Order: sequence, then structure tokens, then C-alpha cells
Amino acid sequence: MGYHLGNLEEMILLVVAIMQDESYGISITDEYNKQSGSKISLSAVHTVLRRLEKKGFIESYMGGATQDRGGRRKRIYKITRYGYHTLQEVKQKREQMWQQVPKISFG
Amino acid sequence: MKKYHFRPVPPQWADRFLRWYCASDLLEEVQGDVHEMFFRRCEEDNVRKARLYFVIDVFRFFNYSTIRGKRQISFYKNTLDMYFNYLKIAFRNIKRNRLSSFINTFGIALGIACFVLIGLYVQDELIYDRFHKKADNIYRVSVENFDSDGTKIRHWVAASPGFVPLLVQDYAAIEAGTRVYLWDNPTLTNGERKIIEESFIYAEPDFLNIFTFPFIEGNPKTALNEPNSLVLTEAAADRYFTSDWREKGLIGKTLIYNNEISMKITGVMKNVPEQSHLQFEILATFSTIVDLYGGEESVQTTIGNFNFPSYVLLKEGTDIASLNAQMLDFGKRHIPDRNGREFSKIFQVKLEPLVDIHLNSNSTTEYSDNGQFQHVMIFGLSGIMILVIACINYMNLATARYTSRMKEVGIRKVIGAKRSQLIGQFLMESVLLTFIAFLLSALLIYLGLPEMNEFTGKKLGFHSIKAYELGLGILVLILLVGLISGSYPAFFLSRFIPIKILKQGTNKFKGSALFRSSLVVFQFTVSIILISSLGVVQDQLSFIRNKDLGFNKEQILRFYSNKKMREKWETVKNRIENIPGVTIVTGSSRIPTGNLADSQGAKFIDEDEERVIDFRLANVCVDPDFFTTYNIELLAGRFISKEFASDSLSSFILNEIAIRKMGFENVDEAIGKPLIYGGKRGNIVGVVKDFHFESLHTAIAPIIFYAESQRYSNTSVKLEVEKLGDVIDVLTRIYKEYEQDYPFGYTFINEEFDNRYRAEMRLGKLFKVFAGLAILIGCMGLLALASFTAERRIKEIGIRKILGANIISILTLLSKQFIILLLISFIVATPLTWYFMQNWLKDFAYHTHVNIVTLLSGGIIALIVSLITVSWSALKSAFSNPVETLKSE
Repeated sequence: MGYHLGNLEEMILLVVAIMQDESYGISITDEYNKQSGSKISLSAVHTVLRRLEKKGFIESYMGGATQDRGGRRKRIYKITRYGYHTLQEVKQKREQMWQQVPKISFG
Repeated sequence: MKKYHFRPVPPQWADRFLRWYCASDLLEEVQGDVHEMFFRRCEEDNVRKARLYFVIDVFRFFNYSTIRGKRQISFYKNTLDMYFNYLKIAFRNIKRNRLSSFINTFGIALGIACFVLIGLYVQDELIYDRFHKKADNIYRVSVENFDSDGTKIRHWVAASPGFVPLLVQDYAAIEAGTRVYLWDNPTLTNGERKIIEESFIYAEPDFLNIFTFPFIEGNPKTALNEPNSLVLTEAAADRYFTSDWREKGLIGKTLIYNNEISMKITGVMKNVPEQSHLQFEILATFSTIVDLYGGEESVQTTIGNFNFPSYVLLKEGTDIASLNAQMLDFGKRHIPDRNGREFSKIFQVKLEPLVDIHLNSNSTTEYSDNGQFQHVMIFGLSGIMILVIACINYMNLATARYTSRMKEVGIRKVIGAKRSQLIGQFLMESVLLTFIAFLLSALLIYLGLPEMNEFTGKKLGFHSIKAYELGLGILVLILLVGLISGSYPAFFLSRFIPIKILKQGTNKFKGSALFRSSLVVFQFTVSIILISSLGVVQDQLSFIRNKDLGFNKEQILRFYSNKKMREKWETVKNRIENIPGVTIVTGSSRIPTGNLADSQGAKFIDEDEERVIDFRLANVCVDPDFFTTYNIELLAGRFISKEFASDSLSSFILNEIAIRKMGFENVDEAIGKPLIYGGKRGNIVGVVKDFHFESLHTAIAPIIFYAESQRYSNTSVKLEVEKLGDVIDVLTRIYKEYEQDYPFGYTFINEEFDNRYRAEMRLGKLFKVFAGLAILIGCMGLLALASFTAERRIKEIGIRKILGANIISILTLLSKQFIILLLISFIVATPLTWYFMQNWLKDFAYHTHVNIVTLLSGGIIALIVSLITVSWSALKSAFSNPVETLKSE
């Protein structure tokens, strides 16, 4: 495999894939918190997003300023084809592995 | 938004902090997100909480991925290629500007060479006596000698022999102490080898526990325990034993001391390091000298006899100030009164740190060849200043030539160079140049070191410095010099805004011209201070040479006479007087230009009332011919004379100041007054005019002269210089008859006199070199600067010439700005020099005043030299043909 995708990176990448539009720092953090049920800090999400972009899993453009942001633009992220395939690969690997797990009963 | 009437604001300082650290390409999104979170929290929660979380968020974002700076470099993959490009450009620039490159390299090389040589000297001076493990706790017992009115008149650096045992006994803080005796030159014999030892000292057992002298053989703890033991240094061992002594060992061998006592060798130590104020080659047990000195009783005396350098070791952590305060009553307890004088009142025992002896003692009674802290400071400062002047040359030339680099900077910036990269490039250029200069300076140091060693009388070098320390030192020096000289040019050149320079071509930078001007002013201020100070030092030296000392020092030869000669004084004197070429001969206990060390208690009888003389009256025993030999003027009464039989017993001659201090208005009144000096009763028969018996560093002291042939250890012979060779031949023969162990050695009084001012002469010579170098480097910089200015204004000059300007007006035009700068330096430098030199002159009790002409001459010399420099390059452009300069655009 020509990539390395950490656990948190994979989760955030999934969140970006789930969200159709307006996926920027805060909305991604909110979505992640909603989906996973745990809390993560905004700065941590930013760091992960930059790493994902550097690895080519997502791409970004500047857009959408609101008054709440003092007229500052947001960086909007979208999953790339490569990112999507990578996610699928990871999923397949997992499923392959699940199939090999025997039925265990915990009596 | 609805909840509030006003719009809440996040904490501004945190926002500013975020703007400060955050990389500019990330700032917008990060700041936007943080602000959005803030407003959301304001609505969901309250403002206070939102503000708190805003701060927390800002700090959470402060991490490696967001901070500015690092990503700019890490993004470029062609960094290495860029460095090669920098190097290439640097070499091209060096080649293209031959004159300024040469001046920079040579100036910095000279600066570094000077700095390193002086650094070696200063370092050597500063580490004196620090090689002892307990150096910080070792103190020397010194005695301050006060006059009756409380003024300090002498500082004796050796103590009475009785002090050390009493000090150790009285004060718990003193762990150990040792007396040392230096003034003996015994003969040692091993079979055939019989040598008079010139560097022989006696010390008590604790000497080797207090000081750290590494032993080759034997145990330092016990080496001096047994009476009549000897410790040799390697140098001494080589003198008495064949070279295989190292293998065979010397412990237990014996040497015969003064032809009678057999002394056992108990240790061999390494040679005493040069950086020790106490120098010796052989160490003997103190008890050996006790018998010679007159027995146990005589080494317990606590009055006078300041012949025993004494050292004590204090317990770790002792407060020296409070210990010295406790010693204030030491005298009261132990120094008895004698002849009606309260010695405890005039002698004060004081401990002085061992490590201060070499540079800070400055006592005239010092037994070692000491340095002066002030001089070391002057040397060190001058070394740094010369290096700084060289660095300034670089700064000046690099910034002055900014126009030639402006386009390059503009293009680099347009292509995408960051300012930090440009700064790096220019710093690299200066470090590279410094490196080349360093190679040249290594050669200069190699050539200059022998000169420096001859000049300072030291063995300076790099042999004692470890290789890695040397390497590290060189690296730090190159980087420091390179970065300092490159700092301003780099900062200045990288500041250009590309659009301005590329669009408008050249534009003026007023600020840099001002900065350059102040640098030039600084350079010339330093140069002028050095030149003027040199003038003052020379003034003082010639003042010393030409001052009327009150006695004649020319054509007088002096040698030591031993006991045998003193016993037959009249015969010896007669024989010498009969040598053809000898004018007159005299004997004395001390000679002018020397020190006055002996004194005894005195009383004089005024109208039947006995009065104690309460000031220090130093004595000199002289032969009647002393005053004629040295041409000393008589003020009243008569000289001691052979014709008065009583004179050899009871006649005193005093100098004028002594008479005045005794309270006489008129010197004639003192004649015939009875006086008791050290138990000797007599009358004052004459008064001589005050003369400088001691050096001009000290004020003239009261002196009493009387005849006592037993103490004429110096024989002074006045002779005709043409017959010097013959006289010395005969003198040597006569001397041999009385003294078989020592060779005949003599000195001339005027040489002795010059020796007293060696430190000042050295300072004068050094100033000459420094002032010369400073003005040389400064002028080289000025030359380059002036020719650069002239070059830039070549078209202007061409047009002026066409319009009818003559050479003089063009010369004025080009030199005006430099003359103004020089005048400013002159105004700054003169009062500074006056202040420094006034302080320096205070060291002399008799000194010249800072002469206004001398003070001005420094500035005038600097002015003339730099005018010549500036005109040289200005003339070149003034004579240039306008057709040549204007034909191409």
C-alpha cells in the first residue's frame, strides 16, 4: 500500500466524504463530534486536514465568507478520487479480515 | 446575534498573538474558524466563557504546523543549488570590486591578527596564580604603613617573620600559613658541580599544602617536614645530575649547602609555571634559614623586618572583608612599642587575594615582575577596537555600494526570494570574506608572534590551548566577525522594495547615509583617541627623562660589594679611585632610582625637649663622597666630611622635606640640632635639597643620611666613558680578590632609572603600533569609500568641468563631507582623550599636564592623513576628461 492512513485521519476523511458541501474546519469538527460521539478540538482537526491534503486524499479551495468570521473566507475541503479509492481499499481490507473471523460465542 | 445589543469582541491580545505566530497562508482560515467558534459560543453560552475558550483555542492552534517561518524553507527543494549560486555571486563580487575586496580582507585580517595576539597576552596576564587548586582561598599577608596623620605611605607586600604563627593561632578562619624567604643565594655542590643558586627560596611545610605544585617524585604533603630538606624543580635537577635522573630517581640523594650542610632531596617538582608571581627553582626547608637569620628568636619579631612574604589558606567560604576587619586590632595585641613609637598605630595587617597580586598589587615593594590591570585593560580594549574598525570598513563599503546590488536584490525578490533568504545570502558573503581574511591573518599571527613575545617578554603561543578549543575559537571568531560586519549590510540590502528599484532605477536611502556617517565618525574617534593618547604617553615619558631629578644619573656605574669589601671599605675605595678614568667613588646602602625600604624610630631634641618624630624617616647610609658623586645640592650646613672625626659616628644629613615635616620653617634653624635615630645620637649637620631618590610614581619621602661603612652594599663609581673598558677590567680584578663565588656584575644608574619606567615605555610602544594600525585600517576604508563616491559622481563632475569648475572646487566638493565627519570625530574624541589620560597620569606623583597642543595634534594628524587619502581618489576624478566620462550613457 502506497499510503498510510491513521485511524483519526481515516475518520476525518470519512466525515469529509459524508459531507457534501460547506465542509470546512468547524463543520467537519461538528460532524465528527456528532458521528463519533466523542469530542475533538478544532486545532486537531485543522492539523489532520492539512496532513490529508498534503498526502493528496483531499483538496481545498477558499470560499464562503460570513459576517461571523469577520469577513474571512473558509477553506472548503473535498475528497479526491485518490482519497475515495483509498477509503474503499481500507474498507475492503477490513471486510476481508472480518470474513476470516470465526463465529465466536461468548457464553 | 439577537441576544446582544452590541457585537461581542474576542480578546484582542490573543487575536494579535494569533496573527503574530500564524503562517500567513493559514491565517485567514484559522482566524476565521476561531472567530466563528467565538460567536457561536457567545450565543450558546455567555461572552465570558466564549472569550476564555477563544484564548484556549488560540493557544491550541499554536503548534508546529501553524507557526510561521519554517515552512518557507522546507518547501524549496533547490536549496542546495541556491547556496552554490550565492557562493558564485559572492566570488564574482569579490573579483569585480578588487579595491574594496582587498581593503576588506586585509583590514579584517589585520584586525583579527591584532585581536588574537592581544587576546593571548591578556589571557596570559589574567590567569596568573590561578593554577593553584585552592587559589581562591589563598591570601598574602601584607602590611599597610601609615603616617602619623593617617595617610598611607607604604604598602609592604612581605610581612614581619612573627606574623604568620600568630595569625594562625588567633583566627579560626585561617587554616594554614607559611612564611617564605627569597633573598638568599646559597651555593649548592654535588661532587664537581658547584653552583650559586639565584632562584632559591625557603618555605615552611604547609607551603606545599597551600599551593599546588605538581610533583614528579616524592610526596608534597611531607616533603618539607624534615629539617634540611630540598625540593628541586626539573630545571634545577638538570643542573646537578646527569640526564638519566628521571629513571634513577633523586629521592634521598644529597647536595652540600654552602659548603657545610648536607641537604636531602625529598621531592622533584615540575618547573614553576610562567604564570606564577612567585618564581623559584629550588625549595628548601624554612628551618635552614632560621639559623642563618639569627635563631628562632629573630624570626618571631613583629616589628618591621618586612622580609618574609607570607601566605595563608582560609577556610572555604570565609568572608574576607569581615576577617580583615577582625584584624584591625592584631597590631594592638602583638606589635609592641619601641623607642617611644607606637608601631601598632602605623602598621596595619591586611590580607590580599593571591589572584590579585599580579595585576592589582601595584606596590613599590613587590618582589615579582608584576603587570598592571589598567594596562591590560588598555591593551585589550585597543585590540577589540581595531577589529571593530575593520568590521566597520566592511559595513561601510558593502552598504555604500548598494546601487550595484539593488537590481540583483530586486530580481531575486521578484523570482520569489524571501527577505530571510537574502539576509542569509549577504551574511554568507561576509562570513566567506572573513574566512579568507582569517587565512591571511593566520600568516600575520605567525609572523607577529615572535615580535610580540620579544616585546612582552612572555612565551605566548597556542601550545597550551587544546586543539578542539582552538578550532572552536577560530569558528566562533570567524562567525562573529563575519556576522557582525555583515549584519547591517544584510539588513539594509534586503530591505529594498523590488517594484521601486526595478521601476525607478536608483533611489536614495537617506537613512543609510546617516548610519554610514556615524560609523565613519566612530572609526575616526577611536583613531584620534589612540593618536592623542600616544602623544600624552610620549609627553610623560619625555617629562620623566628631562625632569630635573635633583641628582646626576649619568656616567655612574654601580656594583654590589660583599661583606669582605665593606670591612675594608677605605682600602677598596682608595684602590678604585686610583684607577685611571675613575673620577670619584662612593658607597651607600641604597642608590637613587631604587627604593627606600629601611627606617628606624627617631627623636629629636628641640630646646631641651625630646620630641618623637612621628613620620616615617627612611635611612640611607652613605660615604662622605655620596653627595658629590651624585651632584646633590646642599641647602644649609655642610656635607659629612672625613675632616670631622665625629662625622663617622654622629652626624646626620636630612633632606628638605624631612626638616619641614619636623616643623622648621627655615632649613638653617635645623643645623646643629641634636637627633636620636635608631639609638644613634648625633647632630644635624646639613640639609640637602629634595631629590627623586625613588621613581616619579611616588612622592619624595623624608630621608636621613649618615655614615656607616658596614652597610655600603652598593659601590657607585663615576667614570669617564671613554675609558669604560679599562676601568671595568681593573674593577673586575679588584673584585675577584674579595669575592670568589660570584662573577663581577654591574649596572649603570641611568639604566636602572629607565628600568623603573619599563611598563610605561612598553605602553608607549604599543600605542604607536595600535594608533598606526587603527589609522591605517580606517584610512583604507576611507580611501575605498571616497573613490566609490567619486566614481558615482563622475558624470556630475564631468558636467561641472564643462561648465567651468576648476580642480580646487571639485576637490572641495568631494572632500567636504569627509572633513565634516572628521571634525565631528575630533570634537567627540578630544574630551574623551583628556579624561582618559588625566586618569592615567594620576598614577605618577609627578606628571606633566595634558598638553593642549598634544591633544590637538592627534586630530590634526588624523585630518592630514585622511585628507591626503580622500584627495588622492578625488584628484583622480577631478583630472578625468569630461569627454571620456560623458560620452556613453
